[in-house]
Amino acid sequence: MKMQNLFLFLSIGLLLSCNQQAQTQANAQAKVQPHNQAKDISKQRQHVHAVTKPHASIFMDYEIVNPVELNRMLDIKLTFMSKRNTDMLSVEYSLDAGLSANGEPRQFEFKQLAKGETKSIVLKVMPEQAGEFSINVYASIEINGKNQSRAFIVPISVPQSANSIQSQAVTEKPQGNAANKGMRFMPEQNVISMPANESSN
Amino acid sequence: MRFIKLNIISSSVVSIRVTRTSGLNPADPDIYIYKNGEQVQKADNTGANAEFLSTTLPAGNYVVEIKEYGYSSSNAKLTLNTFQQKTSNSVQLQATAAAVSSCTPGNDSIVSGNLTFDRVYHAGTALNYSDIRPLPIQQALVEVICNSDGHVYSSMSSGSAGDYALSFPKNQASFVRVKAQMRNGAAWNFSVVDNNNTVFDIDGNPLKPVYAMDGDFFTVSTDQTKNLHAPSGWGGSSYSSPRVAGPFAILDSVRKAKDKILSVANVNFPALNLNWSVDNSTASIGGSFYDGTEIFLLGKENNDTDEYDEHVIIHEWGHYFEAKFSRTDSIGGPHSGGDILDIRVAFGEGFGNAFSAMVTDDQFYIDTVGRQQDYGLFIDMEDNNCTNAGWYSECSVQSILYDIYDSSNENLDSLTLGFSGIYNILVGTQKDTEAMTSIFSFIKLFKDQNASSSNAIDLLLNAQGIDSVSDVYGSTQTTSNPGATNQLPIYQNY
Repeated sequence: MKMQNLFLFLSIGLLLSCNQQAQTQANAQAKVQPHNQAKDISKQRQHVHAVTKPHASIFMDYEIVNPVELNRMLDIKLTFMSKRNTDMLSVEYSLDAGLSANGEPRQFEFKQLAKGETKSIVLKVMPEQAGEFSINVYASIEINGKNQSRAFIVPISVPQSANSIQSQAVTEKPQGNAANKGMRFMPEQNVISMPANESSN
Repeated sequence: MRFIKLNIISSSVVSIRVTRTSGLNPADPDIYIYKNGEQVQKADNTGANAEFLSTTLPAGNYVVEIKEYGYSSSNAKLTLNTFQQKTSNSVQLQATAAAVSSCTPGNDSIVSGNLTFDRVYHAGTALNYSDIRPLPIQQALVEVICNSDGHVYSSMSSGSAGDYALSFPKNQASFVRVKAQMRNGAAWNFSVVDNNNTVFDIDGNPLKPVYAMDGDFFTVSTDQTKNLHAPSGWGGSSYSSPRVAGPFAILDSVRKAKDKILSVANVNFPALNLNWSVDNSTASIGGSFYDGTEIFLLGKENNDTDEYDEHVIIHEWGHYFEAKFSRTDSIGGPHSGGDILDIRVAFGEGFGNAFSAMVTDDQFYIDTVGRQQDYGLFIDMEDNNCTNAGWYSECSVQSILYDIYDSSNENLDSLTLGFSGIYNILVGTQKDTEAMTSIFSFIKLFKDQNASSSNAIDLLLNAQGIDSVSDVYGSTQTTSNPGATNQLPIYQNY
């Protein structure tokens, strides 16, 4: 009985603690919005006890250094860390249509990364359209001759500029992935209908 | 009049939901089903304002009566949207029913054929789009859908060659649908669903749509062949058309995992949704995971897609198996091969990795990521040289479990004990162990059932820096502290 009470007390305490921490983080984020974000997303989206697939031992935080504005160069700081000594860290990235790198390098390589050590790079990206975009980042590490990779996304939300709103010269948000086309949500039948390739022989 | 006439063409699951829309509040609607005047089913719960009945009815003609408790049927005038419109002074009820086709039977034709999907194979740790092979869609739910109302006319599960043959209403436009769903009465129900297009039922429960491959509608007057193929959608440098094969590739991996369990035990599987979407990214869901109820899988092109990574899918299915059939005390969270982990996490994740290799009989775990799915993560279950080996290492756990299982013996591995012994411990004594679930509890209980292999098991343990195990608490572990920390003994005595 005492153990149960103790467990209940600990549980409530833990919940309160978590709640306070969540609020603190939310407040901290609000203070630095809209252009400062730094997080390892993989830790945030999942259920508390979600059991996940293994990943390469490389972690990334990002920070959008300056305000996101249409046609204004954006600095995005990426910071990498590994929990293990690695012989090499290579980073590559690609941009959604609507963002451009203006000839900036797309690949980076570090010879060694000690356990717990961080390495940072700054990407320079030009938002050329308003809308929601992704920077796809691929980080590969080499440990004992074995290569392992992990993918990250830096989401970029580009607001329309005041000028573009006034002139109605707003560029349209890019259309959805072409691969989505042809998938139809049919709520009355509760299916996502996809087209088959049919033959009759 | 407050009756509904039901004509069931072939054995079908019929679901009827009644809800109060206005009038008497609270109302207490009831549902009765009759055949030849005899009541065969009823739902007369006392819940307010709603009633629900779902049952399997053999082919035949039935009458459904819907009435408000406390009022005679003759006074209970109803609103029956699906079939007929009625009104009432006392209460208005709305009834909806499903699974009844309006296509009329008679002199049916037979439509048959083969169902296939594209599997994209691996080259190293990348997806190799030059190696795409059609494979049979096995055990999937195949339906003939009456085009005029969208209802199911006939249905079956596809065969092991992806074959099917179904009744097709003669001269009435209909089409063949293949669902990414494997269903066999109470035995199993696995569905690949879209977590980004959810609607809610009347009780607020989420209804996630199942992926389905649809043929074109057509009419027939004689028997016909219709083969349906699910293409990958790959266009040479990116996905350029619908990724129809994805959900069926996932279902195929689930089938293999299910069949592995059925190869050693005749069990029923709790229903499971596998949530997949081309929009599931590392930003939107993190990584592929099991949350204790459902599996979520990545599908975002140029980020991380898992539909063709069989080991990833089966790893997560292994977590479902642990949770529903065995016991896991894992606290979850992110993890990598060389990490020093909580013993509960190390065992759960090591088991997931090893299980994926056992199901596929493929020691190489591959998880593709990146631009054009050209990068990846690679784990060799037979590479026993684990970084940070020990009782806190998922690599050590997977190495030991796979060596106990596999028929390939190397170095210190002399065991080929197969899956049934492992299964028996997981669903047996491991469920009731007084200790936390870990490599210690598993090995102690496994040794109890396989005493003649005890020394050989100890050799595998020792190779991973784990001392010979003699109890579920690992009390004989006196060496191999994780890193520079002192974590021994693992359990303190009080």
